[in-house]
Amino acid sequence: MKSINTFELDKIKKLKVGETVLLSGEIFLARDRVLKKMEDENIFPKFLKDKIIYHSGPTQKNIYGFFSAGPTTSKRMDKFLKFLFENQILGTIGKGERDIDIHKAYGKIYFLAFGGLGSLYGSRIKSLEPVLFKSFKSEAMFKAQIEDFPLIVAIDVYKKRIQKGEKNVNYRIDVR
Amino acid sequence: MKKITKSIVDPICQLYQDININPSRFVLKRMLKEKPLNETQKLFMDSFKENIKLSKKNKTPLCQDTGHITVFIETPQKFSLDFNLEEELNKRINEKTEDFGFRYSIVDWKGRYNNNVSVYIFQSKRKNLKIVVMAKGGGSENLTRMFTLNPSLSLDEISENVFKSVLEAKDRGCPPYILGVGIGKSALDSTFLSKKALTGKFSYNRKLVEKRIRDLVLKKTKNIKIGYLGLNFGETVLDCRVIVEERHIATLPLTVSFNCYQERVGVLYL
Repeated sequence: MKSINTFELDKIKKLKVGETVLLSGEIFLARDRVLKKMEDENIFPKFLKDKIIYHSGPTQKNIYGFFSAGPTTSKRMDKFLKFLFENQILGTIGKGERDIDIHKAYGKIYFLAFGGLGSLYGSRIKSLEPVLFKSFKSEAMFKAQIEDFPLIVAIDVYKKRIQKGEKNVNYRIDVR
Repeated sequence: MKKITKSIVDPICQLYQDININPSRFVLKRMLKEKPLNETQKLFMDSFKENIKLSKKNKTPLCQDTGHITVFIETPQKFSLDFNLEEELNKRINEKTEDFGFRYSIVDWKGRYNNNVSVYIFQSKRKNLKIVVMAKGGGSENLTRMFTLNPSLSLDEISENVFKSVLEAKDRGCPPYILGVGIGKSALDSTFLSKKALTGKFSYNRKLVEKRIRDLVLKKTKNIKIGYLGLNFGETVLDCRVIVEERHIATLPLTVSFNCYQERVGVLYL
């Protein structure tokens, strides 16, 4: 298992599908509502260039100062990938399968985080602050400093993916 | 006559917190049996165990999606209720969500967040109140499928629809899954029954037809290569809970509900 930091762009780009990593550094949390707002209004802050977006909506802090922040289903946010990739983000973190066609066109990385482990991922976020659309509460964009996020490379920059042999399913409006 | 008073509100809030922090014993027993065979599987199993410890230690929810809360209340035949229970519960749960450090996961069309509940009250022959609280995340909820089938279908064909729903679900709703299957008089009934079945706290898999559907579904889903979080190890379906009730002669409405492996269901008797 590799320990890697988000500023080590070359190392990240060399990761191969199926590798497990412990990721540290700076990431940005964004999910449905904030991404829709950004795309609709063509807002793309410069600080997101070459950064990783983590699809997650954290809980509030409890009275002891702890919170949960596991991944949410990536599939719903596939529709924003073209917008994000054209604006040069480095890659994404989420759970479940992700649109392979758009990855084939842009060669970006997708990490799988383990769904349902909110306490674990929350405990490895060392600082968390809302940076965009704060009124969206847990759906705002947050900047996070993370330490040892357990992840699997699900789609690498060479456009290979961990979920093999399946094509995108586009026969219905799919939020799943 | 059983009088339902506002005193039931706080225990329901407390149960909501408990089920989000403590893992389902049923799921835990089943998942811990699995031995990881490679680095990825080991990383998941280690993370899974650590998550449980951290939830207990830090009092944080197992999953950040603290869910849409559904409250089922089974009452005695004679009961009285002279206040708006849903309003009282919403008020208290919304206050407590802040205290617990949980998430407001419900949003209205003006973009305002809350944690409002859905309450279902139904009569039974019991003498006390049975309150079942289920908190369910959006990922697994999005996997729900409702079918209007031909009533002449065999049980095997009915089960095939459940099987296909699991195949389509892939790894999007945090497998291993628990399935709730409902068949009733209408689309509404079948969906309600599938949710009741999903809780595992009401009578299910008792009738012969229910057992038969469960067996067929478990047999069909046994070799699906999804596994824990799509990592292709461990069971994809942990349980299939079926409730079948009477139907209209022209219809066979079937709903399949999914629960993720962070099954958050609790029961209270008051």
